Amino acid sequence: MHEFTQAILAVGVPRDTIVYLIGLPVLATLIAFARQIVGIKGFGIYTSLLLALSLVALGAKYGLATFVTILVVGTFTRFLIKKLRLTYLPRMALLITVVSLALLVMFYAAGYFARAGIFATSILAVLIMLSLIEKFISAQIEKGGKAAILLILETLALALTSYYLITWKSFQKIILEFPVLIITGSIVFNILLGKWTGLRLFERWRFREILKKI
Amino acid sequence: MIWQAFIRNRKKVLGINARSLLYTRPSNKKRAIEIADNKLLAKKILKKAGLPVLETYQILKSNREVKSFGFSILPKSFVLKPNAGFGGDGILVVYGKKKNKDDVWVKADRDLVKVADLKSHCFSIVDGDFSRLGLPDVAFFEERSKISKLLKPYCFRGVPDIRIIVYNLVPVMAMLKLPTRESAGRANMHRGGIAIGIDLGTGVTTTATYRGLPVEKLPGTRLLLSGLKIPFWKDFLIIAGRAQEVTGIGYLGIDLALDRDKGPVILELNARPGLGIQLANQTGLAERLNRVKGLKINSVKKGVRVGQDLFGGEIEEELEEISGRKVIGINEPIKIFPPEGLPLETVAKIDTGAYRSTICTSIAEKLGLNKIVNYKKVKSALGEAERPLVEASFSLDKRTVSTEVFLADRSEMKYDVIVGRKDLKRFLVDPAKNVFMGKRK
Repeated sequence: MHEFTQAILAVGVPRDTIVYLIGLPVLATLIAFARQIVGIKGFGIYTSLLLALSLVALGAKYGLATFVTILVVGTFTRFLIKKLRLTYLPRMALLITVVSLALLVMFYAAGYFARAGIFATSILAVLIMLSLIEKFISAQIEKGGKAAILLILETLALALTSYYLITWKSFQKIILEFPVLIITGSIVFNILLGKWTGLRLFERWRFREILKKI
Repeated sequence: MIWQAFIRNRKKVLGINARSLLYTRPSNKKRAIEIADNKLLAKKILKKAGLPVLETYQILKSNREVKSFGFSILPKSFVLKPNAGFGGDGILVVYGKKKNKDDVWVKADRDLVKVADLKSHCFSIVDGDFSRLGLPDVAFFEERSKISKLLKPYCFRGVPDIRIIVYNLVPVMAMLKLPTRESAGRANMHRGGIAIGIDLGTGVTTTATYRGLPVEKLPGTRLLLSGLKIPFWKDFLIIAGRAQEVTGIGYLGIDLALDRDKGPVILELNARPGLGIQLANQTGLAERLNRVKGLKINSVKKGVRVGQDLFGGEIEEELEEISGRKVIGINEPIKIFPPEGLPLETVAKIDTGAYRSTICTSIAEKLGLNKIVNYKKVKSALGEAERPLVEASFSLDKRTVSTEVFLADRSEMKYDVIVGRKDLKRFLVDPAKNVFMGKRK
């Protein structure tokens, strides 16, 4: 193990703390790369990372189940309360109330059918996911259903990739083994990424007819 | 190979990364973006500079103002817009009032809009539902631009608009955007509108794109999308350049409408104009911007001239390629070759009404064109006359023609040379090209 890691571990900092603190910049870089080079938009770093971390806390199975529940109930509620013609923030708060109730029902069902595994997970992660619903619903309102679904899927894909990467044992080992290299690497890579003016992969596809022609 | 073409051309097409890093960020200062993102402020500045904008009927700044506003005083047709909206979001267009009702309007898709709907829409706008950062916004009602008769058959119930990208005071690319059934009366490309490229030199439409793919005809009809000439084209370009000059938006996408009564009017300014215009024109923006970068342009007029010269004439080139003939105008520079010595350069009038070409005797003498091969009778309005025919060769637009021409005294006429049909077989004549006056004698 790298002496840098050893020095931090020696004073009693938990291993996971190091893994996440050094792993998070890598995930952020990954999301930046996905946007600048590939062209996957998603909702940006903030939403994708929060979603990824909630997945880490809840586990992929419960995490995805919670996410889908929140999304479906939230979208359904949006259409239901549309007729009430409410202003934006009260409408969102109402929506979150309904989704919270749905989650409560879900938890009750889990307890009733003795699937207590979910109780061992972090409630904070569920709450974070619940708060993210505003992003997803406001995208539906502003950009329309189709574009919103695409954005949500992109974000989910980014979050899932991040989740699998950060929970992957070999990746964690690499982090502990080469912390300095990873941090300096992230810094240099992001500076280069931020100066990159080339076409994104998706743009190459979008402009393929012109690229062939001129 | 396709891949080689891809690699060769990738620098010619502008992507989002290059747009923000090389163009919008260095060229659009904070104040300029403020103007572009604030429709009312932009209108005020443009109007003050004497540029044509749409009339504002009413501005509503807060919930209280929305509540107390008497909506029924609004005219039959108007547009409701969020001041800080972008990408066409939150814009509501009505076309007329419902028969015998003073407070029910009709939208493009025939849906009815009642006062309650307007009020709720205004509340959403004021709340900031459509503003970029979700901040409280201002709602305003604006005059609806009336579609010109020329463009009406091409639009499905919306207002078509013309987008021009201006950089360094030079118009670099333009397109005509048409609303379709699915774009719900709005002309935005990402909503399913059609975009057609425009030749900057002539204002004639070229290639078109719909849903990201090239199209030739208006979907569902037999109307050809290319070859449409936008009237007042130069005015459009001048207005676009002037708008850049007064707002300081260095990389500007300006949307204009062709109003039935007012002609070109500015609809909106955009500091981060989309890249789809490249699909409409089937060519890259990066290459054009590079050619304009660093040029010293000190007036809008010069910028427009440079833009028209650099980026116009594609239609002509294409036409020449297909037909194998050169496109010439009504007045065309001509070089006449003497049997010996240097050629003489002057301006000829291209006259498709005449069969043979005619050269003024004074020129013929100067050049030594005196080998008379024949005499022919010519009829004209002045009666019949016999004119000598001489051998001559000349070049028009770098193409040489060897022929026999009439000699006549043309000292009283504006042009010394007339080129007739017989010698125009390898040319196409475009009456709209090169319309400048010949030198006065």
